[in-house]
Amino acid sequence: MRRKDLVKWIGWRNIHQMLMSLPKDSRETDIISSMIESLESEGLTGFMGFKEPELQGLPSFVKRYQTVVSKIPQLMEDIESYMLDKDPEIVPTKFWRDGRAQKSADVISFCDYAYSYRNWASAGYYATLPWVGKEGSFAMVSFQFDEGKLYVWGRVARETIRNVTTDSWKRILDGLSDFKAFLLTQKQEEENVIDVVDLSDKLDRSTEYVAVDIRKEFPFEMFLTREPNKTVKELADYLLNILLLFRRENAYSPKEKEGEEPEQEDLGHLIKEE
Amino acid sequence: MVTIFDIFRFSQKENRLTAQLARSLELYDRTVLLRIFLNRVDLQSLKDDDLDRIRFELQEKETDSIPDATAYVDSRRIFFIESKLWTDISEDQILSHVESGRRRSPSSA
Repeated sequence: MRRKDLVKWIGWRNIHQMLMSLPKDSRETDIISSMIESLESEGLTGFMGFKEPELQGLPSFVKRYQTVVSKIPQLMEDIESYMLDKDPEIVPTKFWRDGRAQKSADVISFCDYAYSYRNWASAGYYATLPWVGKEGSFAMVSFQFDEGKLYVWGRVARETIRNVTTDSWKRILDGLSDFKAFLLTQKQEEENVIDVVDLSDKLDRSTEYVAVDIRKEFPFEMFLTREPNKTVKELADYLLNILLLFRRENAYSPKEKEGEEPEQEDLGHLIKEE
Repeated sequence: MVTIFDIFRFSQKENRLTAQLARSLELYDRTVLLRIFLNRVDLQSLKDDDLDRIRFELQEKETDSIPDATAYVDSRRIFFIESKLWTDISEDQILSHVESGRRRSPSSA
């Protein structure tokens, strides 16, 4: 027998079919029904038909969703204008969203708008991925539609986190005292930071951390339904405060001078894993 | 015997699913579900007597690898399960479990 013949493939969808082929009373036993439930909750099934509640109110959902997503760029443009009035060196650096599936329809579950200063290293998002050498600090607004939450947050990433002094971290954390701080590991796990002592201790003890995130969250209904000007001003002020603190405390890496930009890797094969 | 505790001791979904699968294969009428499963993976040669003696071990360390599940008839390994969710599986990874299993001395089985 060839070595490769030793390997047999069976998809989770086949396992699901196998379980569904059992008699009804067997499918209702705890062991089998919990296995079926687990597979279905992960979408590891063949087509099982639509359920009425899944389709109810769909047209009105789409209309509301379109309205919401069309207002977000308007909000962010006003925030950008407000910030640029205060400081013309601030630049929008990145916009991310999920979705864009090639073979199936999709709905985005989040979109993010990042800002930094013109002379900072490019704002990144992939601090946790080993192939990113350097990532610039940024302040960001994230619309997390699947959670119904808005996040305002800042990230200091990669080697920059170790260049920031303890006193500077203290001033950053004090300046954002109503924010929560987290350390991010290479495995994309978050660890709470209690205070600056805790942060310094952890950074001293381990090299596995790749970013410090500082963030505040708001439920959509609470934050976005207020007076439009108030929403714009408050969000913009949060972003400005984060960027100012990072700049004042040297919690950023400067942009490489022209001609010194590191060669870009071909990232195509990795980007598709997003 | 795989228990409910085995399912919840894992944080990764694929490990939990594997534990659930092994538990289902062990506890449900073996002449039905386990037999269908074995047929699907070309192990129909196992006799009904063997079915009763099959047991699963989860995440049991082999020499160089840790398969998600190992199926035994008594103390003899009959197959390994390596499961994946949303990521590609590598045949080499599977074969390393096989090779790794072969290198263990029979007394350690």
